[in-house]
Order: sequence, then C-alpha cells, then structure tokens
Amino acid sequence: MRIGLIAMSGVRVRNPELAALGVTLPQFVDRGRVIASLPSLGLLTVAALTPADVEIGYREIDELPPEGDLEPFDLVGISSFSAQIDEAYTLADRYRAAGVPVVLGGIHVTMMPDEAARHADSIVLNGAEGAWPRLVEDFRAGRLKPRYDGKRSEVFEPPFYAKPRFDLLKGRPYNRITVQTSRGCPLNCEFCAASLRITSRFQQKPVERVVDEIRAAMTVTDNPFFELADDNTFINKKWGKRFLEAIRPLGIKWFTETDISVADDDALLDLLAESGCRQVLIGLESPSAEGLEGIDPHNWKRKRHDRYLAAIDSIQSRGISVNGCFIVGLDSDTPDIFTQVKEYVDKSGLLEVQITVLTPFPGTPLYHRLHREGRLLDERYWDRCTLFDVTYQPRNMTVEELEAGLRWLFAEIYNTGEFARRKRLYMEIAKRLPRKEATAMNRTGSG
Amino acid sequence: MIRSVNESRLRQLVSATTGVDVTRLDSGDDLVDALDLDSLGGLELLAYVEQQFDVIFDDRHLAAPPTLGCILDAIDDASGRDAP
Repeated sequence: MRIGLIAMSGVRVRNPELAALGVTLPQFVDRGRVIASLPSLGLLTVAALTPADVEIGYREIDELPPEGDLEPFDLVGISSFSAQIDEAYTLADRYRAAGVPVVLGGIHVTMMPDEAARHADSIVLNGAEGAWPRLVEDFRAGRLKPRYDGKRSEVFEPPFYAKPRFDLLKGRPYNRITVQTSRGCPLNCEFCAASLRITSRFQQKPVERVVDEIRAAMTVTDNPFFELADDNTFINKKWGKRFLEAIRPLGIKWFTETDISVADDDALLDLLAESGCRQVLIGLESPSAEGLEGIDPHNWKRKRHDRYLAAIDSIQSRGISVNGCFIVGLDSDTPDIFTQVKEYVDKSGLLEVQITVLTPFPGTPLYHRLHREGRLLDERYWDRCTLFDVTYQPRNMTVEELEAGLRWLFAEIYNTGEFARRKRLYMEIAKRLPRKEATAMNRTGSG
Repeated sequence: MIRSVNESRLRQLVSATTGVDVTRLDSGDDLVDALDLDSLGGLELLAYVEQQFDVIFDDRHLAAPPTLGCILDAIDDASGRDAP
C-alpha cells in the first residue's frame, strides 16, 4: 500500500501591488524564501503514525504536475493552511476524480470541517495523534469513516506520540528543519490561528524527546538549522533552561517564536545564546499600549508594553536577533499607525521586522467577532489569509487606507537602505560579543 | 599591490575564523553559501573583518552579496575614505 502525503507551502500575497513591491524588497524576500522552504512537520508526524509496512510518498505541491496524470497512490493525505486551502481542494478533487481517496487535515480543516468534507473522503480534526492510525486501519479494512477526531491533549505522550519521519527529508533542499517542543499558548490572542486552536491546553514535549528528534533530523541534513514549530517556546522557563542546556552540546543553530517575557530571565537569555539560538520571533503587535488593549483576554501583552524596548536590547545584546512582529489594522489603529510603527522600529533597534495586517483566520475569536459585527468583506476569503491582504473593514480607516499604509510601511521597512542599517546594528553588537572558536559545528547552519 | 596583500590577509583571516580553507575560493563566491554561515554569521564575519582591517564599510557594501571580491572592494573603499 502507498500513501501520498502532500504539503502545501509558501507565502502568496494576493494584492498585486503588494506582491510587486514585496518581491523587490530584500528582507521581505529573505523571510518569504525561508517560510516557503520549510517542510511540513504535520505530515512528517502523520508518516510516523503510519504502520511501518505502508510506503509513504512525501511530496510538496510544487512537485506535482499542475494538470494531467498524478503520481499513483492508494490513499492521499493533504494538509494546508487557509491561504492555500482552495489549491488543496482542487488537488483533492483531482485525485478523487482519478479514483484515489483523499484525507484532508490541518488547522483550517479543523476550523471548517463541513467545507473540507465536500472535497474529501475523510477529514481529520485536531492533531493526527489518536486519529491517523485508526484511519489507516479502517481504510485497509474498507470501512473508512468520513471524520476522525484527533487528540487535543496528551499528544507528546505514549501511546499517541510518534517521532516525525525526518528521514523523508533526506536529499531535499530545505534550508531549515522544523521540530516542535510544544503545542498551544496560554496567551490566547484573539487573532491567533496557530496550534492553540487544535489543543485543549498547553502541551509540552519532554526535553529528551525533543533532543532525540533534533538528533534524528541532524542525520538528514548537512546544514542543521532548526526552526521550532511552536506558538511560544518559553512559557515554562524551568523547562526552557533544561531544554537549552540539553541542546547546547549539539552545536545547532536555531530559531523560534516566543513572547517578550523570555527577556525577564538573564540566565535563560545566556543559555539561549550559548545553545545556538540565532533569532526569536516575538509578537509585539503594536507600538502603543492602547493598541494592545484586548488583544489577549487578560491584557497580558498590554501590561508588558513598557518593557518592550529594554527586552529587545537585552536579547539582542547577546547576539540573538529579535524579529519583532507588528500587526496593522487593529481596532485602535488610525491612519497614523504606519508612521508610528516605523518610528518605533527605528527607536527599538530591532534587527528584523515582520509587518502583517490583522487577519481573521476562520474559527478564531477575531473571525467570530468581526463576523458578528458585519465587518468581513466577503463570506469566504481564505486565499487572502496571507497576513498581507485586507479581508475586513478596519474600524478607523478605509480598506484603501490600510492597504496603502501597508505598502508604504513595507517600502519604508524593507528597502535596501533599511536592511543595511539593521545589518550595521547587528555588526556593532557582534563586535562587543566574545569571539567563538571556529569549529565546523558553530559554522554550519543556514538561516 | 595593496589589494593583493589585503586579499591574502583576508583569505587567511576568513579561513582562521571559520575553520574552512578559503585560499582557493573564487572571489565571486557568496561566503554565506560557501561557508554554510547563517545570516547573522555572515554579519559577524564582516564585523570581524572591519575590526581586523580597522575600517567601517559603507552601507552600500553591506547591501552587496558577501563575496571575497565585494569585501575587498569595501576594504579598498573604506581605506580610501579614511586615508589622510
């Protein structure tokens, strides 16, 4: 039996003016290139949950012919984010028309099960743990069910846990490998469409399992740069320190996402640097405290706004760049927000910046609220859930003002001169860092 | 003459810093790719070169791909700017 697992990936801006601008701006291109070349950890986990006697074909959507005959499989599994879901449905329809049953899964499918079910023989909701093994067994027995509910907890514990099949990536040109240390995030920001939507509570993978996975992944690549596929890696600082001490000897370079409180603990930051962390992505969201009002149910981010600048400095002074993420189009934002973000970025010394537009991913609290308020521009807009396309009516500006402001901000933040300025910032930090001995280990990694 | 001295010194410096022998690397090869550096590693190397050559690269050189040739151009340019 052969199962095909097909990954959809890439950042595809729909707004033509923004797309044209984005491809010319160096730092935007850099990050886009990184995101587009990440493997699908979800499908590698599905592969691991598949019985050993089943052959797995792991494919990226770009490897498949856009029309004509498809590679033959007995069963196909497709996982997709919202922005590529229509392409996933089209592919699913092609396979089904060719007589191949299709299973759809992923966060979007979990949020929109009825829609996804129209394009699949079966759907898997939540994680594949606890669902996929049953599905394969049922398929073999000729009794595939239309829906399987995967686990929302205990996903990193036996009998549900499985080490992802990193071996399927051997020979593939990914410049980063993804490993997950946790699912979920207690901050529960209104707009978040990450793994917290398929998890009943924050789930932490034991340190030993993470190290085992990293070691396995290191065998399939000559360039071991890792991206932790977490919503928020350092919620548990105690776990975090054990994790960093455990990976320090591995000599890897890595990136992750976390929140600003990572800077509260100097010892943790020192370990972060010593263990090879090269960048942390932090959702700063707004240059003003007012902008953070109501973003998360307990106003956790708002309460920490006055620590942002000191935290960025503390992290970056250790040679770890902060990718500060801002969202424009929040309900408190006026047309002044774009200059405010630019000024804040300049003041903060951030080495990398991610600007996105508020995006109501289906199933999120933000989606439900904007839907209630009658502010979604269309009933269905999944192909524009790119983080750069406007899909709702902003509160204090027009859609056109938000789009124009985003284009202006992109041009201001990501142009060659600004990119060089941020490089200069880092170089001055680097001159103050202790020099490391040159070894093959601290040299390797592309990120 | 100065450029060839600088080139020889730069190649030795990069080799010693990264642990990779770059004496035969083409001057047009991107060092980040050739040496498997991450993006920050590339900047760290440039920072070290600045310190060792006692120069500050112009922003337009930072925007260029980090090849040995571009770094030498940056050193030439910075040295020329800083020359009495």
